[in-house]
Amino acid sequence: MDNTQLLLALSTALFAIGLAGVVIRRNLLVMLMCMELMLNGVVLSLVTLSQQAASTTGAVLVFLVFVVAAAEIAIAVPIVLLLARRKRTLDMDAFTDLKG
Amino acid sequence: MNASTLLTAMLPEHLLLLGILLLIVLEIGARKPREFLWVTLVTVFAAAFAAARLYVSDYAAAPFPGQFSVDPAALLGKATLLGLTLPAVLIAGGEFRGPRFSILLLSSVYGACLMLSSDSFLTLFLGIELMSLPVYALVLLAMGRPESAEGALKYLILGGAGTASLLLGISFTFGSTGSFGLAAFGAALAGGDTMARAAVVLVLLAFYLKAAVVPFHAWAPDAYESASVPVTAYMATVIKSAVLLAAVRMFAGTEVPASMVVLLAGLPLLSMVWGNLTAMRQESFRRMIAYSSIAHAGYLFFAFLGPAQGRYEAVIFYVIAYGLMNLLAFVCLPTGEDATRDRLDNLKGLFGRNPYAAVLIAAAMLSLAGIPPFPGFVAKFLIFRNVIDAGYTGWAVAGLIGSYLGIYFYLRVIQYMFMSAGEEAAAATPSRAWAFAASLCCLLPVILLTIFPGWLLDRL
Repeated sequence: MDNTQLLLALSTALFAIGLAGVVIRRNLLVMLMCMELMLNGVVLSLVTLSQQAASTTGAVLVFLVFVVAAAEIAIAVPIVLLLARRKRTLDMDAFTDLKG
Repeated sequence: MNASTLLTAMLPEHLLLLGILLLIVLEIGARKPREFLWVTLVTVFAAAFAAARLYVSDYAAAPFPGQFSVDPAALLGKATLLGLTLPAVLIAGGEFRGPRFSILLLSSVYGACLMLSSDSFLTLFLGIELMSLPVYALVLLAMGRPESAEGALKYLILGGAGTASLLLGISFTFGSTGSFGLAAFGAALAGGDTMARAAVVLVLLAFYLKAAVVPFHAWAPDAYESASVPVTAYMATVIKSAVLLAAVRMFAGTEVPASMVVLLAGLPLLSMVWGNLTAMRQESFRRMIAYSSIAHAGYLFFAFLGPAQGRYEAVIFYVIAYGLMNLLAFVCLPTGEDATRDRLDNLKGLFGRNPYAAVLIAAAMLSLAGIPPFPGFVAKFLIFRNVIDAGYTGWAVAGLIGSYLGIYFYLRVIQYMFMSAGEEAAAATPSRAWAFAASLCCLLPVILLTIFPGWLLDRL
């Protein structure tokens, strides 16, 4: 197994761990962290593949991903803050006002 | 690339950007809230007019070759999205007067327009994010209601997971085809190796998530219910249409290989059945529309089974008919407290209180159910005809059965309005000028589309 395949496997594993975390964990902050983990897995695979193909476009996309991830967190954290202030907990299962 | 191409080809986008900047300047100058709404309206109208004008003159150009190009198909899509945004802005007239709503909405529309013109996955990704990020904040704007933050968060977490899946798909597409161009998706779809397969599946899952197809629909009912009415109307029509039109652009001329049919027909079929069945037991109008929109996403993805050249025609017609009818129902909702105004119980006896609104909502419901004289029927017909043309008769029959499950809950709304006695709680509220203007803005195109569906079809 050469380096490229190893790195791709690693990035897929990071993505899968993140996805599992988003689905399984119920703590809001941990869920957000897992979302970031998914994005980081993607970044690793993008860097690996664009390095292999000697392309700069992949690197540009990596920067775009960073910017978007930062913007996403900038929106997510205030929402979590609002929710935590209201219910005094970070447990996703406590937020069940919407049902049906 | 010269300056005039750059200016003309991106005119709708430039106008939106100009509107956003103007709003920010007005915000600094602390002007009256009403002015923000007028600026937004004029901006959206001007952008829609510019897109329609360019479409009529068959304009095509590539200001950024390989990244961003416009052609008549993209321009018609943009004109549709911008036109559908107008009524949403109009009904916001009564509720949001501040600059926040306007700036967020315009940014989101800008992202939607960018998506429809994208030629590479970079632009597509930027467009999707620019469209989604402001919407998370827009859901939050119904701050008076405590559950809005919950809806926004669920939307954001699932949306974030969708973005990550799209990006991994993009990365794998690049790995297997060596290109970030949108055409690489078609190549990956035709290619047989594992990486290309994984790429196609991941990208499709991201689109399913953004368009709320079962089993990735969990965010939609919560987000739709917790947002206030104009935002829900915007999400149910413009966001969904933009995602679908971008998917058409991404599939371009590729036929769906047999190995992908299960993914492209199975989940949408499940989505129709599940959406329609769950909508039956909803007590809130917005939640019902959310489940109905899940079902409609299913019909729309069915269009991709059909032959490539009929796909765009079917999807754009469906999007126009579905968007107009949905908006028509939203603008006619009785006014009142945002949290309670859409209880289905509130609609009881509406015909006695406000016949105009009741008749329009009834027409919208019948069209969404796909009953013949209304444009919803023609739209469904086009989609299922394409599926049959492609030889998937079994799927088409299953889809038709699934789609007509929905008749029950659409008719239930009509029964509430016409046959149940109202509680006479609120004396007939005077219809406000904004809502009336919004309803006219939907009604005129609907009438045209009902009487002359062929006129639009000939032009596609």
